[in-house]
Amino acid sequence: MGAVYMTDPAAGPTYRGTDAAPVAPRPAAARTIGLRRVFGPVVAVDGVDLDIPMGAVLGLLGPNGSGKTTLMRMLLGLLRPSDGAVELLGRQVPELAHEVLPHVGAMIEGPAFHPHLSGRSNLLRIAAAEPLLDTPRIPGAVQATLRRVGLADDADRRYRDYSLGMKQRLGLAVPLLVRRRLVVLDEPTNGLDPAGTRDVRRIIAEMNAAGATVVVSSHLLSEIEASCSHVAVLQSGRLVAAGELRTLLQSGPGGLVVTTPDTARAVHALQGAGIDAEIDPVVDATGPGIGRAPASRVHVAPGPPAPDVVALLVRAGVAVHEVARPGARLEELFTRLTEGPR
Amino acid sequence: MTTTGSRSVGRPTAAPLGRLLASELRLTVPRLRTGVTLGLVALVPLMVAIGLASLDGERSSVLWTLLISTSEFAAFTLAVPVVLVAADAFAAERAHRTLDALALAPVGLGRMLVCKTAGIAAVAALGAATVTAVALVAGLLALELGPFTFGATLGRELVIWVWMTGQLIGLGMLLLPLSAASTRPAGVTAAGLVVAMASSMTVFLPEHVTPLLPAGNWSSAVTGLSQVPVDWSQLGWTTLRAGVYAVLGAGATVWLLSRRDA
Repeated sequence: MGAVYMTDPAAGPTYRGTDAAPVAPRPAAARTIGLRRVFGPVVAVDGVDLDIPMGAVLGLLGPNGSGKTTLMRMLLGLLRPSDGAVELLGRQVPELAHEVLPHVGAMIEGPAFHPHLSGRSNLLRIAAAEPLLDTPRIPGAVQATLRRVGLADDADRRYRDYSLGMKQRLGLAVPLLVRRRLVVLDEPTNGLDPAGTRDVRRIIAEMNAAGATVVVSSHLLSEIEASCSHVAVLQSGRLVAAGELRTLLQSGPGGLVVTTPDTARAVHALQGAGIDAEIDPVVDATGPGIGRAPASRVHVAPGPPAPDVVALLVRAGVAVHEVARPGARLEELFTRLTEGPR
Repeated sequence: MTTTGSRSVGRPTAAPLGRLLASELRLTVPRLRTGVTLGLVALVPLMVAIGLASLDGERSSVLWTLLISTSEFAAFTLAVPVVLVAADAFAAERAHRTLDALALAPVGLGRMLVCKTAGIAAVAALGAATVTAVALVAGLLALELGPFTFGATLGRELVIWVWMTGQLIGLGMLLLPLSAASTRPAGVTAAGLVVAMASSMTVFLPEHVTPLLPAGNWSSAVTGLSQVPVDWSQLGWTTLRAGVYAVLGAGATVWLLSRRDA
């Protein structure tokens, strides 16, 4: 996914090339081909083609009801596709799911445990079903996992007495029981306080560093931006964008932002040369203007190359402190992809 | 475009069956609810022994305490522990979404069925043992030994324990497809208890229906043991019926589970 695929639901698939140099293809940890799932009259997932590269941390984004959970359930073989195919760690799913599922950990639709059992007993029950855990190792693995998610002191309390955050932590413990090659987490930060959210980010990074590919859905775009290398955006069951996060963010509206203490003269000079420019109303107080004259920003419309803009401004006697090609924030990108231009 | 990750995936692909069985039994047997319902079962022979103590004659004996306690009139109470476990087997697991964790481990359909059957069988055996043991002890304390020696009485009690275990397994397995098709364990429990209760209301049912009910003809089956020589015919028929229900229940459960999403 070195390139960015953007799909306009109305216009059909299009391709936007990127400036990135060609990269060697990475094997896919998971792949969907024309994946579709229908519930009665509702099309929950509609023709999704998605490659999840091995070693990526992929953030799955989309508004409520966009098909994220349905897609995740089909990836794991918990839901049969109405059409299309799923490949997980190189095996067809659900037909050969049993061969790869021991290497896959997941928390789908929040934590799911027996309310009358303690956190430890619930985890012991799940550990007993893990093919990759030897029986003598189970108590130790469970204890270590409980410690890792911060539940060691509450392990023997009944699950029904846990707070929302503790339940979420226990849910996160399940994929941690065994070293996985793929981890799928559906809204892992739901109900967590900021410290818990940081812990989830740390755990995702640790799993990824240990070699696991991680797929995570979340409504917290800042969390996705902080922890994911790739994103896929769903809208009404269709994949509207997928690719490396950095590349997607750079595929924004474009243009240049010039930081200068003399914004009026800069705009005048640029417009005089036929270049569309305007003063950016946001003053960057932490920008390079600090310690010198107060600097403001001028937004230059896409078109002219940056060296030409700088040369023009310098010739006009405008002090140029910085010229940058702004990247969009994920929130802007998400809004643009799922709601369209306002 | 990425290439397919076809690196070979190592084994094993399933946890040892014994470990899964132990885990299932830890889920069902030591549960407080199971203990409470077994206590309810224990009340039946206690009350029967107290009732028989006020009577004279052959029936005021240890063996008759158990024969009455295992008749269809007690079926509702005897069925409660097994009905609850059968209802929970899939419906509660699905309601709590814990079935996903088993499916993802992965635990295959066959193993899952074996584990759920083991849970039903364990609670059935415990329920039958409870009624048998309490009937024996209460009968010995409050009543005469009756027409048989202690050894002969004990032998008959053991036969009833095994037979009753089979009957309760048959009832539990009959409920398993309902559990597999549902996400509401309360509904499955209600259905199971209605079936058990219907067997004690034979007066309201057509004559040819009673033998087909899971607890139908329990009285005539167990009273065969009070005869000399023992009349095994109804014991045999009811055992065969329970076996057929168990096989049908297991088959229907696999069929349902293999057709629906996890």
